[in-house]
Amino acid sequence: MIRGWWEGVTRRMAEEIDVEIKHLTVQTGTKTVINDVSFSLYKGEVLALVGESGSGKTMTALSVLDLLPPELERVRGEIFFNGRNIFDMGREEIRKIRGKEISMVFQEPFTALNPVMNIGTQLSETLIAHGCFKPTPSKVHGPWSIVPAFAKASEGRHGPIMSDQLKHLLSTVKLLDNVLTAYPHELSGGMRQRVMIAMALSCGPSVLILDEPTTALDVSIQKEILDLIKNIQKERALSVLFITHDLSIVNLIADRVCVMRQGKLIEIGMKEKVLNAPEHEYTKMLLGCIPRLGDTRERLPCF
Amino acid sequence: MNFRILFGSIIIASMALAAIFAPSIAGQDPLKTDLSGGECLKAPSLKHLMGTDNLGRDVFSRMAYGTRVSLSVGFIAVFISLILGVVFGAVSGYFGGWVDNIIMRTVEIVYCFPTLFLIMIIITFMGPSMINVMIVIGLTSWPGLARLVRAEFLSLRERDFVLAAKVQGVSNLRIIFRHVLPNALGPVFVSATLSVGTAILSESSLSFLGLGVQIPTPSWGNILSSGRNYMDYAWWLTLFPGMAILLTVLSFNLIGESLREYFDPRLVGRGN
Ligand SMILES: Nc1ncnc2c1ncn2[C@@H]1O[C@H](COP(=O)(O)OP(=O)(O)OP(=O)(O)O)[C@@H](O)[C@H]1O
Ligand SMILES: [Mg+2]
Repeated sequence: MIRGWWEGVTRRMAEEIDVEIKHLTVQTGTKTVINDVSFSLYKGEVLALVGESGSGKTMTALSVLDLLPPELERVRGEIFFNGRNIFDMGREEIRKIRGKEISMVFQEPFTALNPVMNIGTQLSETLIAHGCFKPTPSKVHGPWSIVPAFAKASEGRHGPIMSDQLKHLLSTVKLLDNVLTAYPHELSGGMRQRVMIAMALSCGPSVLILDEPTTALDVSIQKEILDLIKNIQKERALSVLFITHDLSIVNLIADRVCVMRQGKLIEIGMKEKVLNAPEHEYTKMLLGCIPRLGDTRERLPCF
Repeated sequence: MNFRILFGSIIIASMALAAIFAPSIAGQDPLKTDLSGGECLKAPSLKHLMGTDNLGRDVFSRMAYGTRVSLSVGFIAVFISLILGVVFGAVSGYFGGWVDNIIMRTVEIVYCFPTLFLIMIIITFMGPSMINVMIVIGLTSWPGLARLVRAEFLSLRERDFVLAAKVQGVSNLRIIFRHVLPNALGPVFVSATLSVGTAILSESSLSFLGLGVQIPTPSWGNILSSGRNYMDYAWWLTLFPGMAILLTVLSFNLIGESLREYFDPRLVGRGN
């Protein structure tokens, strides 16, 4: 089989594959951004994708959703999802996969939310896009609620966005109901990232791509978000592609690790193996970059 | 509610009321000429609140009826141009490529002609009437708006939230009109309010040239232009229609500014 020899070593062949990337090669006019990358994401696993800035991690992730920026061109390769090549799908077909089967969360929660839309409306957008929004508002309380017309009016302009479905979504990421009527600028970075996660999960996808979801957050919030992701991943047995360049996060969350450098796949394997006994020089160097307590080295080896 | 939107809405609302109830407000027949001794070019008095014109007609009544013409031309023409400008501009800016090329070349072709000249040519073929004036002003004034919307979309489509919406499977049409357009509405509204003024002025020019609202039907434009000849000794003939146009345009601007803030919650609390 063409599919790499390494997979046979680390995984049982019987295990099911969710996303399979085969010989993906992406170029700009002059530069090869992704160079013959092949790997698979197994059902229910967390695969960490690590590598230095500019190594093509984000572009690999965007390829999976067929959303490469127009300047980049896929010159070769296939990506299989549920046994079908996503590059062979029609526009409407791939749209229905985005957000419903495969979701993605970005690095910057500050810019990934629409500044002029309140959170409830933004959450409902994904649901509406896949036809699963139930805009049943929760019961209105108060003296007017006995008259149906008044009850309806007192829902005000926030009517459908106060629905139970959206409240439930927020509760899965541990946010309060009042966030629904808030605008993004009123929320902290951690809250926004929770909203992004809620949005990504809203249609019950099986694959979640997280592109450095905690890089823009401070350390204590990072921890909370990582715990949240970990719990949800376990609960729903999600297949997660976790992009990061923080090896301590890899250690915390990943089952397998995939190392990329300058668009090439350098090494892939079980976390314990890659972190403890890396095969490739570059991985060793990357590991050597983590400052350790009591480390007496004067200079980091990679600079 | 702030001072600007209050002031603007009061002016526009009273203009609109004047337009609707013109017959009862006017008190006199706007078309009735009175060439008998001394009734022509009379200064404002209790009998003629805004004086009389060179044919002895009551200017106040003419102004009241003229409000109908000016406001409806202003609103409907801008409405037409708004729809065309927003749709073409948004599609052009969002998709880019050959769609953008076709739309922008069309815009440039329309731009090649001086707008009023173009309007005149078309009106000559279609025949002068109020309806035709509205349609033609609308059809010729969208390119500026389309360019504005396109420019907004060019920068907005690169924003992360657009990619985020795409990743969630939101369709292109919905991204354009529900996600991106509200972010672009500020400048569009400001520009549209200015266009109302321009449309009212265009109508005036056309009426002056005999290609717009046909004499003797009054419009602010033809009252103003006929008063031009008597500016030295009958100031009321130009002052009142001029003020009416000025106040209307100003009010639309004030409302537009306030709307901009409403659509952009980040601006709330700044200023005023
Ligand atoms: N729109 C674009 N046009 C041209 N080249 C691009 C574009 N976007 C990305 N690239 C190129 O693709 C390469 C890979 O970028 P990518 O964003 O995938 O890196 P990354 O591994 O995600 O880095 P980071 O850790 O900084 O997010 C970069 O070197 C960049 O030069
Ligand atoms: Mg990246």
